[in-house]
Amino acid sequence: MKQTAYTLSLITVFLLFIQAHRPDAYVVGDRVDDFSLMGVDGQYVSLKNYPTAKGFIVVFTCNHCPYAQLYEQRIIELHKKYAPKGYPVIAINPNDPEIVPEDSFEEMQKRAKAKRYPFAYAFDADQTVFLQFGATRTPHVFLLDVQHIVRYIGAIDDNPELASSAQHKFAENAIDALLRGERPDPDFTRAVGCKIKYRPKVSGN
Amino acid sequence: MFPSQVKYLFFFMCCWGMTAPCKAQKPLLCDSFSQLEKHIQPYLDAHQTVVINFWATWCGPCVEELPHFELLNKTYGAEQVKVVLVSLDFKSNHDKRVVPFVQDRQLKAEVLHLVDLDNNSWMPKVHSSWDGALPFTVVIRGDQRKPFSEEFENYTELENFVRPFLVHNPNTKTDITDNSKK
Repeated sequence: MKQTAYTLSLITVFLLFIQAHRPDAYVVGDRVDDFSLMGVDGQYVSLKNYPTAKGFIVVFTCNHCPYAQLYEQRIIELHKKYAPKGYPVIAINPNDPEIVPEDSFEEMQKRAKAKRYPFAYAFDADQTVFLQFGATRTPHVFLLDVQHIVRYIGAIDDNPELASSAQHKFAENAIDALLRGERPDPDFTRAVGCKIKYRPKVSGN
Repeated sequence: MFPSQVKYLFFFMCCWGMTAPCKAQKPLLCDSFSQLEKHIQPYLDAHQTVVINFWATWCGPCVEELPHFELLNKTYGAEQVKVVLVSLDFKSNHDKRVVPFVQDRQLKAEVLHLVDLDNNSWMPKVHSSWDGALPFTVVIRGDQRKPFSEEFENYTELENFVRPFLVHNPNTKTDITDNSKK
């Protein structure tokens, strides 16, 4: 009996693991499918809505996470610096507001207004887009080129506490490389962040 | 020999000494991952089962699951399971947040405070699947290593996760070869 319960719990853990880490999630070199997510201004956000973009800085971020808050100003500055060069930021909140009420759509609207986000801030309401991207934490950057191919996945820089003390500005270096027609190096970095708040759906998953 | 006021003072100091809680641990600050590795290696060399949980004081789900790790530590003891709680708070918060947190909560499981910012070098050494999201847990024994990238909802879930790695498995004693007494 105990053995059965134990085996069942192992299977549950295993299922949770594979649901949270889809094996078909994007890696560098994959072309992403377009998405349509509601933005804080009430308009749907899709890649196709940016016909002149040379690429995108897709950032999975949120309201509540202290690390997302530490990087908030840096995300605003990334957009201000690179949107004129053809690389706008699209920020996506992937968290389930039933787990974190602070990350509800209404709270997103409030924060975007208070902090005057110059970029689109969209809500992954049914939590499918972050799974498809393979995002695991906030903030988590995915840099796309003009063909919507993933060219960089990872951190913004290597100093969450203090932007001015960063030794490596990974995201900026990656975009600069694309602007020069080169491949980013590194094209994948790891960073501390808040686990995306996700509850596997009982059906339809 | 002493004025009576001083005698009273001694008396109160003795009482305080007897009633004060056990001295809380002071978490070890590790500037580099290699320093942390050196600290943990003796446990692995002694064939102990080591459960390493990465957390931070600012991480809500991490703080929620800490009591499960404390209970695991209390239930099994270091002979069977060595629980190591690795805080990834900022270095500047060592004295300001990490030390007071550990002492306020009277954490008994060993706490290390890792402040190595070169994530790309050390995170894959913990587990290839880990990209930095917190909380994160790995159980290690010998060459075996198993990651868990979610929050443990309850103690049973954590215990079930660790049980296959126990040196003396209380439920299947005869099935497990004890390599620690070679």
